[in-house]
Amino acid sequence: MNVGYLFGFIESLKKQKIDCEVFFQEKEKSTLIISRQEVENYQTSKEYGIGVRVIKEGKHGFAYTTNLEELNEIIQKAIEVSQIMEEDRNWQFSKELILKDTKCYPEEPSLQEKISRLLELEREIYSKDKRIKTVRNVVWEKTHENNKILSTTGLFLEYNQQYQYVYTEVGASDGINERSGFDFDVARSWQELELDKLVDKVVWQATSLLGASPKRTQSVDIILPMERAGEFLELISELFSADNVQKGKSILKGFLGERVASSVLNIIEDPFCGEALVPRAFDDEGMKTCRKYFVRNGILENYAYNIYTANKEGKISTGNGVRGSFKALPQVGYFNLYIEPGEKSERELIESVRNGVYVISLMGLHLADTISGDFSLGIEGLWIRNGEFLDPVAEMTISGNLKDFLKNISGIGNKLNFKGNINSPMLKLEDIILAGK
Amino acid sequence: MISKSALEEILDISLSKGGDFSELFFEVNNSLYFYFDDNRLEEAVVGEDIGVGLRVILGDRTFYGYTTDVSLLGLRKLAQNLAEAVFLRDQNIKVVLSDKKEYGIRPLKDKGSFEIKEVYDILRMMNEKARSYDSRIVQFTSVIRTVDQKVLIANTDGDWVEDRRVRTVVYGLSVGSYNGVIQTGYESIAGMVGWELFTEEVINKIPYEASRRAILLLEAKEAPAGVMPVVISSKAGGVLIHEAVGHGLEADLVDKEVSVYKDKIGEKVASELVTMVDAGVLEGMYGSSGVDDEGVKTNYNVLIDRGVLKGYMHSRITAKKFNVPPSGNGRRQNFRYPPIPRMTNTFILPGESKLEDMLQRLEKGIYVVKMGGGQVDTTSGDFVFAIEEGYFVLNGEIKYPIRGATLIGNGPKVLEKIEMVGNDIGFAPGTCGKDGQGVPVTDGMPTILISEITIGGTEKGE
Repeated sequence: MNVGYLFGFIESLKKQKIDCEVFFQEKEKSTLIISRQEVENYQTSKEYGIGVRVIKEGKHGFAYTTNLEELNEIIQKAIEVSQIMEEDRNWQFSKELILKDTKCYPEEPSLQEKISRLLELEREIYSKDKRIKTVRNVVWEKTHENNKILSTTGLFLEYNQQYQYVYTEVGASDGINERSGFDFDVARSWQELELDKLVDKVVWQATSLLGASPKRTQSVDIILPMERAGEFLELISELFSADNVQKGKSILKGFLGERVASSVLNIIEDPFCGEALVPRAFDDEGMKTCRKYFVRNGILENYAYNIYTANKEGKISTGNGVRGSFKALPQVGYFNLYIEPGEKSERELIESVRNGVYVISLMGLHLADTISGDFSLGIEGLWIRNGEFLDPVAEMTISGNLKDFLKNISGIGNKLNFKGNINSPMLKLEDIILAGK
Repeated sequence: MISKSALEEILDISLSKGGDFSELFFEVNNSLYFYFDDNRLEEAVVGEDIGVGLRVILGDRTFYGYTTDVSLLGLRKLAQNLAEAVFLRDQNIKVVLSDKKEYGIRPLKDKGSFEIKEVYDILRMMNEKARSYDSRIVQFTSVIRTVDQKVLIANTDGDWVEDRRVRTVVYGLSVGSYNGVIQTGYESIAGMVGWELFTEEVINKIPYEASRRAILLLEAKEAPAGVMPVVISSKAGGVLIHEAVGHGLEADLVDKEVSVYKDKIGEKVASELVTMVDAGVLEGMYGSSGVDDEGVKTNYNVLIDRGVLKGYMHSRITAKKFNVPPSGNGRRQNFRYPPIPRMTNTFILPGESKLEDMLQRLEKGIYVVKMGGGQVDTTSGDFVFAIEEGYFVLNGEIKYPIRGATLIGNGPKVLEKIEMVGNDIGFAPGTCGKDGQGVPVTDGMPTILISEITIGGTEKGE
């Protein structure tokens, strides 16, 4: 479908005096799954989807479809569903705005080259350590999206984004115990993927956990390496969402300008930073994105707004309107959110632990309650005594509340990778309850 | 959806450059979604998702593609692209489909037969009920979603099957707040049913249970941390069995040797009190369907019989590898994904014990009345699940509600520690995630006593 057709469609709606916004998404995806030195699965696809928002008499309706020949019908559906809504003037489309952000990505090696590299990667995993008994698979997936957003209010946005990842899940055995390792690497282009490191990491994870067992329940220090700390930041990011704050669903409601975290903590969103996995100049509602602190030196400085939540408070959107796909309305979300790196090296942080755990994997993250802030997660990791790794632990949990988590951060590593939309350096936390035997 | 001759043509093209088997999955998915929050209906969404997934299997290799362009031209292109990817040799296949078999439910009330305005009234009513439960309820969020999924599956074995699944879900989330503490309560009901799901009982139960739980948790104490005996009520749902053993019995994980239950058929893997079933054939349940997403009739599969492992859950591919008939467990989220072995409705059959007798066995332990979601590492068998409603029990007496805890255990070890199985059974619906695909499931269990499991609380005790 070409842009001209979409513009024509928008013009016809204007004549009918229907306020409308169209989100048109083209998505290409390729997948390779390698197992036992074979391409077990090869997948390729291209799909289209369209999401239509209408505002009629102050009422907001939304409909989506994959059937591009039914544009008029889908508008009718959106209007129909808007009629059961109450009038809500907070829904709005941006006006008279043309923004374009289409990036070029380096040419990719051939499929055959990728397959050879992934086959090699599987062999490398096996040969790295003879305790590796299984590689469930090695998966590569690439997604390229092109999105266009047009409205009868004169909005025309166009942007593309691309990312690809490789992940693998391996099983190690020492003849008695079995443990697994899972890791991934993600980048914009194939050339930027660090596959050698992936092999080292995943093999280390699985083998170093062999023989893991629970220890007695106690209060300890916790080291969260970058990936695990990033997973926590993802939970914490919910607390800054104005949508949650306005609805009483954030424990940070009412704390703007106050100390909510350890003074070493800075949480920043830097959407247009060159290193970001998916840099974005504007959000999915046409608001310019900007670099900002949510937490600076432990003080809560900002909440994140899309247009709808900003209008509720008579504010201006902070450029945090995110649409997950053509099937979703603009929600509050983030573009390249991270914890600012500290001064200590990862080694120094680990060495500063007298009694604690280096967390290799977290289980049950999706069960954490970001509204109450309560979390209780299964962990696997390595025991640290006086700065040195000792035996592996598993079948244990760490529990607490995100409010305390923010305050318990005592050290931040100096290394940061942009391996996703939300990233963190290594974190050290003190006084966490570890439950076990 | 598409004519017989067109189906045959597409299948022919897909195998024209080699391959042993090809299958077309045509899906028409119509959904309605309503999101009520902050005293208002905030979102109402009409969705239509139509597409075709096509796969060619060649030995152990799968070539998969999908498209949202379901015109004959679009499908030919998809089939040609797949054939080009296979590119082994020219072969001339003439697929002949047998007569179409039709399955699927006819909901008592489907999309045409109710007014969209009814939704608004139901959501409002629930909101009022939830908020009037207690003045400490500060927020109520609820969702109603109804999905009408029509699928057509045709393959080069000649199978031609249509199935219709209508699923309706309602959930409510109450937020309670008092003295700076926030707690939430959640309740959901879902089934393979249409709009008839919304009985007066359901409309009352969702807000009542959600608010009751939120307030209960506001008054709850911190959960203890450490190893204890636990009684899990039949009302708690069956997440434990889903995580502790269910995933480990999915044949693709067994085949890849990442399951603790590999090579264990015929062996004792659980206490003899445990008989576990996966049954996609049960009427009205959230995880049910007429056929699975490969066109195989759903079934009633006994996986563990009195503690002894009988079999795994299979897709067509794994069934062939294990040389058994497919079990009706080949499922996919939608046309964008190839099918893989998945659970449907998974449960433990009732035993003979009574709740009172089980509670009496808790000298110092936990009584779990509602479980949340869970997760498992199938290689080690370690799993977690959340307690949404639980109580501390001392000398057989329920003392006080606890909050903020998961249970963590090891599947095979916990299954051996099931010491009593109740004479009741309860089910709870959920969405199960695996390899990036979510599918609707139900889990069920009788009330059970586990002699010891780790409680991931925050209170250290003595």
